[in-house]
This record gives sequence, structure tokens and C-alpha cells, in this order.
Amino acid sequence: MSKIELQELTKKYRLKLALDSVSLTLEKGHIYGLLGRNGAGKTTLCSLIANRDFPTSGKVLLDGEKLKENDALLKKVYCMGAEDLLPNYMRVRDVIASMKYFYLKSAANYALSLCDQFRLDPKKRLSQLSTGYRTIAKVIFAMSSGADFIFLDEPTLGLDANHRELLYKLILERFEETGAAFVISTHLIDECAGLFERCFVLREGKLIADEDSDTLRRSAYAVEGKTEAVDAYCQGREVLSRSAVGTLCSACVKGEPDDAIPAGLEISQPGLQQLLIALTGGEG
Amino acid sequence: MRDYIRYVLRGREGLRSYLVLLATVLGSLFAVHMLLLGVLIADKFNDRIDLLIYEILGSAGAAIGYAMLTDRLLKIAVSSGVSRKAFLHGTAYLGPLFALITTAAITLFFLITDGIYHLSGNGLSNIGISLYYERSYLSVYAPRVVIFSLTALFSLILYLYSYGLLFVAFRNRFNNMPAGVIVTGIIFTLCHGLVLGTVAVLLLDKISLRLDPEWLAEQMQYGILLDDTFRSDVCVLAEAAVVWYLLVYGIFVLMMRRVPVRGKEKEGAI
Repeated sequence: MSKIELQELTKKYRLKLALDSVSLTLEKGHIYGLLGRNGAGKTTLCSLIANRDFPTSGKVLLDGEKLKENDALLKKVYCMGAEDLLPNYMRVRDVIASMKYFYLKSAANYALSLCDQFRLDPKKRLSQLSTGYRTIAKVIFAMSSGADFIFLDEPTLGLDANHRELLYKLILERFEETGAAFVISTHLIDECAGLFERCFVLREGKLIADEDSDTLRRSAYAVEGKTEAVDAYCQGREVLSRSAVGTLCSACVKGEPDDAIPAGLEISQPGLQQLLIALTGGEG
Repeated sequence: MRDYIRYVLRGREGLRSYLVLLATVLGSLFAVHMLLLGVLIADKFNDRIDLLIYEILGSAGAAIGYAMLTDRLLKIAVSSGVSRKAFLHGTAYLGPLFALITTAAITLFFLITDGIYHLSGNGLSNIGISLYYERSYLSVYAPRVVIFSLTALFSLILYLYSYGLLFVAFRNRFNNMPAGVIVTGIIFTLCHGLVLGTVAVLLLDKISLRLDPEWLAEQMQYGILLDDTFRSDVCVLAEAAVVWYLLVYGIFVLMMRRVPVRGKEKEGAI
């Protein structure tokens, strides 16, 4: 199975360490979630893999070979970034037509059918598109590229609920059809949670979680109740986050709940988004 | 690299958009020539006139277009799985190729304009010969003059392209502002200030300074009359331009080989 390996990938900007020794593996045939707060390093990670930027140290390997500046391997990776790299005056259909020069397996007809489904006029210039439709256009370019590894950075930016639902459906269909690896970086975690098989969580440039979604969800639990009771329960346990409203308090505790739950406390399984908030430093 | 070159030559955003831009520039200059012709006819002026509009403004417009295209192509290529290595290799070939095409296009516009001027009893000076003080010795359509003219024009375009490449390199490394200042500074220094004379004359003068000044200056003025040195004249002109282009291209490679590619909206995004 084709795979991308990141080995000790570090990216340092002048004033900020954007990525700190990140090592992970992406295999073809899976859908991954790349999660983290704003500025956690998700976009940088995608840029480094797609050869748009260069790491300060570390390397990216595709099937054991260095991906950096390797034309044959770069064709197997497509990165849809939140930023606009294509000239604004280009028409959607021109971009679709140009894909064939770079990606041999690109599917122009499929791209046009996606335009149809999203009601995107392919004759329109990129500059004429709203934020949402610009995102849709970029997603269409990515999905029709035929690449083995498709990175979608903020694929829901500006999309309404209907289009988001359609997007999730199409990602799953395309995934089943091609078996390509999808790496989705998004802030709408609960909406996308069902798609992710495995999640990578970044916090201030560090990879703090690399687990399959179910394991990650089970790695913590939420305790709710009166503040004194919750605080007493949390004594000696690793608390990921804690928030109190009036006399009530809720805490996210790492590990699995034990059998002895004190009376007055409620235990529940946190959603992926709640867990991520807890893992990445709580609210605010 | 083949995919990249194929895209530039056959795709939408490569040669095709460059030709559209070039046609727009040359078309505008053609319109300017027609206006001037109207003035000449009204003044009952009947002679060959020295107009370097096509060479200077045409080449400058072409170089700006080339720089814009190169900058766009970098982003398109890198976001489409093309390595910088392939992009840079491609640029090395595409520069001279585009310069040749531009030379042909400018010459074509020149010939059409000259033909129209002839119909009214006027005429334009030949491109290359207008750079000579002794131009009256030769017919402007003598084959060797034409060849020399084409070489001079090609050299000038290549020169201007190299400044375009420098601008793109500085723009991507720093920003538009420092790029503009630096490249203008370089051109100003190398050409002793554009305001002092035409770009063409000063750039060609610069070629002669870079090689053997006295010998070349002599060739530039009189060499064209001598059959046995004519070939070397043409070669020296083209060689000097190509060497300069390659030198600047080397700087371009050094500056661009690790340049990050980012979009406008989220520049510096983490």
C-alpha cells in the first residue's frame, strides 16, 4: 500500500516554530482528519508535503523515496489549500482542462459533473466566485485530480449546510471509487467526524494525538455535576479541561471511567470536537 | 519538466496568454503609429523617420508580460505538482524561445507598419540600422541588415527578460516594493540612467562595454559594412545577450529554488 511518511518534520519561521518534529504516516485507502486550532500548523504541514514550502529539518517520503522536488512522486499528491494560488481571471473550465497536463489520471468529465451537482458554472472566472463557490471549485479540482493522496485544507470554508452535506457524500463516493487517501483539515469537526478513520491532532506545531477516531474518542470522558463533586472526583486524575458555570461544573478526564462513579456525577462520552477542545487547551 | 513545457506551450496560461498580451501591446503601438502617420501626412512630411517605438516599448511590454507570466506559472506549476527544479529548467528554455517569438512578432508588426507608411510616401527606419550612425550607407532591407536587426532585437528582448526574471525573483523572495526598487536600481546603474537615452541604445552600448569596448564600438558603427566581420558582429551581439541572460538566470535559480509559494490572501499563514 502506497504511503507517505513524515519523519521529524520541523518548520521554523523567523519568530515562530510552526511545526515541531512531526512524524506520522499516511496510507492510501484511508480518510484522515488533520485537526488543531488556528495556527496549530495544519496549513504548514500540507504545504510541506505538497512541496510548496520547505522544511527546516526532517523529510517527507512517499513509498520510501523523498518527495521533495521529485516530479514523479509529486504527481501523486494534490493539495487543495485555503489560499488562492491560481490566477483569479482563469475560468473554472480552463483550470479543469489544464489538469490533464499535470495529472495523468485527472478526470475532466467527473469535474464537470461535480460542477453540475454543486451548480457551479464552469464558464465563470475564479474572481467571479463567492468564497463558498471558490472553495467548491478548489475541492472539485482536488477530487478530479486523480492523485493518490488528496489534502483538503478547509474544504468547508464558506459552504452552506446543503453543500457541506453534498461534499461529505461526494468525498465518500470518490474515496470508495478510487481508494485515494483523503486528508481533511477542518474546524467543523463534529460534522466531519463520521468521515475520519484516523485523526492527527496538532497543538502549537506538535503532534499530540495520532490515533484512530474511535480510540481517540474513547481516550477521555466527560464528568458533569456539582463543582465540589467534580473537583473531588478529578483529584489524582489527568484533567484535560474544566469549565464551570454557576454551581455546575464539567471536566474532560483522560483515560477510561472506572466503575465507581460517585453519586451526583454524570459520565458521558465526549464528541470529537469537545475532546479536541480539551486536548488543545480548552476554550479561549 | 516535459509536462510543464507542454503546458506552457499548449495550455491556456502559457504561450497563449503571452501572445494575447503581446498582441495587445503591439496592437496599441500600431495604433500609435497610425496616429503619427496621420500627423505626418497632414504635415506633408515625406521621408524615412526614426521611430524606435516597436523596439523599445514593444520589447519593454513583452518583458513585463514575460515577468508576469513567469510569476503566474510558478504558482500554477508548484500547485500542480511540478517541482521547482522542473519549473526552473523549463524557464531556461522558455526565455529564449519566447524572445524569438517576440522578435518575430515585433518584426512582423514593424514590416506591416512600414508597408503602410510606404504607401503614404513615408517610411520607418529599420530596427537594427537605426542603432547605427552610418545607416545611410545601406539599404534597410539588405539581408545582412535584416539579420543584424533581428539579432539586435532578440538581444534587447533577452536583456529585458533578464530584468523581468530578476524582478520575479526579488518579488517572491521579498515583496513587490523592494523588487521594484532593486531592479530599477540595477537597470539604472547598468544603463547610466534611462532618462539619458533610449533603452535600446544604452543596452546595446552596455553589451559593447562588457566585452571589448573599443573593438565592439567600432564593429557597432562600421562592422556591418564589412562582409568578413559581419558574422562575428551578429554572434557577438547574440552571445553577449545570451551570456547575460544565463548569468541572471543563475541568480534567478539561486533565489527561486527554495522559495515558498503562497497565495495572496493568506500570506504567511501557519
